[in-house]
Amino acid sequence: MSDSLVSVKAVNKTYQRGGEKLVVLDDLSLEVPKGDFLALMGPSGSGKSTLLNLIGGLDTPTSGSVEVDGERLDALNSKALSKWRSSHVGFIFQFYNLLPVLTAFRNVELPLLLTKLSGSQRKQHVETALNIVSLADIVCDEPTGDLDRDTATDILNLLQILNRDHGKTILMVTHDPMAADSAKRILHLDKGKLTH
Amino acid sequence: MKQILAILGMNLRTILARSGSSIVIIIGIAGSVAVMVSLLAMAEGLSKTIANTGEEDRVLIFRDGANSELSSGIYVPNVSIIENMPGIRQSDEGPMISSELYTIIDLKKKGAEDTSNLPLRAVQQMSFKIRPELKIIEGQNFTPGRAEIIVGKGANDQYESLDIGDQIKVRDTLVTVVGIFATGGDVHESEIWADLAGAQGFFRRENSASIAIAQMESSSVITEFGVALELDPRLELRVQGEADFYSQQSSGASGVIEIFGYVVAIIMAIGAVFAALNTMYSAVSTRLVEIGTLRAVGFQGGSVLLALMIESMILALLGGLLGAGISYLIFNGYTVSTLASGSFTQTAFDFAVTGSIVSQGLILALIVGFLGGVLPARRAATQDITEALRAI
Repeated sequence: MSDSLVSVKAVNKTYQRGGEKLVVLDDLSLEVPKGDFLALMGPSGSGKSTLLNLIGGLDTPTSGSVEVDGERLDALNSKALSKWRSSHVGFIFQFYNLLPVLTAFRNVELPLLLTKLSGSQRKQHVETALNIVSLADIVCDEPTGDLDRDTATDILNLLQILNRDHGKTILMVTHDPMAADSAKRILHLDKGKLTH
Repeated sequence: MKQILAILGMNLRTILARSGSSIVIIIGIAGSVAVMVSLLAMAEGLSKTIANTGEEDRVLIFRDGANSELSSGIYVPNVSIIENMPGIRQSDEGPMISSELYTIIDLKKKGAEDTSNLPLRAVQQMSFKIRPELKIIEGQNFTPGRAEIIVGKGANDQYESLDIGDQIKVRDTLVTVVGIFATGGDVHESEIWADLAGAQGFFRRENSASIAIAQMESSSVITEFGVALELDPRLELRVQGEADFYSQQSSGASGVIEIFGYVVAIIMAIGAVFAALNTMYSAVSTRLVEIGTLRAVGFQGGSVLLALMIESMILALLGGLLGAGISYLIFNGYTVSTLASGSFTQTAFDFAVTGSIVSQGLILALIVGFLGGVLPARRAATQDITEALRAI
């Protein structure tokens, strides 16, 4: 068994727009070891969010394989992917995607409703703000994209703590060089291919 | 289940924030249900009134070939042949059979410009013995040989000039109202009654009547009695059980109203389905990111679908309850009259909003809620998650 948490092999992702075939990821392969903190950079439309979605189990490749923690995500159906996401991955969205009708507490608690934790256990998790790190590895799509500089620094420090002290593997898509500098590795995508 | 309840709870919390569009569903469905419940209550009321008329052990005797009292005619002296036939109950005053003349007079309904058909039944004194359910509730009974009438309480409610002491013109004769009667809510309460001998004079009918009514010893002798009477070549009459006759009369009139009720309700329900579709599509599109986020963190599409369906059906059920409630408050027990099929006369009856009718209204509401919710819910459940998340 390899040490890679994420293993992406010969992945293609294409979309059909009318008569035109749009290639978003082009024969892309990537290995992410456990405990890595990887920043994906690249111009808009380079395919970095699509790659993140494939690794996060939000989307499936047109061809190729995506394996995360020993699970072939490209072979799972929608229901199995939902279950996998609920127990293996946490998301930090660019616009937070908080549910406005829920309190902050309930927003944090929401993913825990999908676990077998009891009500009091969920409360404990939420109160200690450890729910995400206790359950999941983390994918972040522009986590600092909509934040002021000070708050962005706080978030990046938090991600570094989670990676360094809690051993969490983090994949982050960003346009922000400062955010990318927080990662252990930076990879660049362009036109659906890793450039370096 | 936990997933469905979590999503449903969140959706229901946003209903107040989306009160405008939610009210469109509720009001639209309430309208359909109110119309259907009201029309079915009308059909039910009419059916009950007519079908409640008549007893199993009484028979009506018509001219052979006649299928209503109005089209029937019998020769009164022939009744003396019938009264000696076996099966008719005997009383202290002789065989319990009575000839009745059934005809129509014109009278204005309260608040109406034009006149309507009011049924007049002219009876012999034995009719009161045969129909013990008839009670004089105000005034007194008419005196045979005098130009007097008694009025059913339904007719008294619906028509002008039918209070005690009022006089109305029957053909060329002025007759006086001397009493009001009730018959337990059946069709006779929409009639006025007069003495047969007098009425034969008003209408120049001499020895003829419309039908005869007879009290049988029991319902089991009716068939034998009917065969004997119908086989008698002197009479050319036919026999029908009284309850059977009125039940047959009710099915036509109430059936038409019932069909009309269903047709109108279905047409309105189609409109309500589109209102529900519009509202639920709008609810889904405004919550696309929320739904995408829920699915991203692991909530399953099926749970999203079911939660949205339940939300749509809860709104529909509220609409159904509102519509049925409005119909009940406004119409239950409301008295109207309508032209009865067969007799061409006005029959007064009360709307009856029954449990069964309310259930049918709620089923209609749930069907509308289901049809209005299923496509938007399916869209939400199958929407590509990454596209939903980009919908900010």
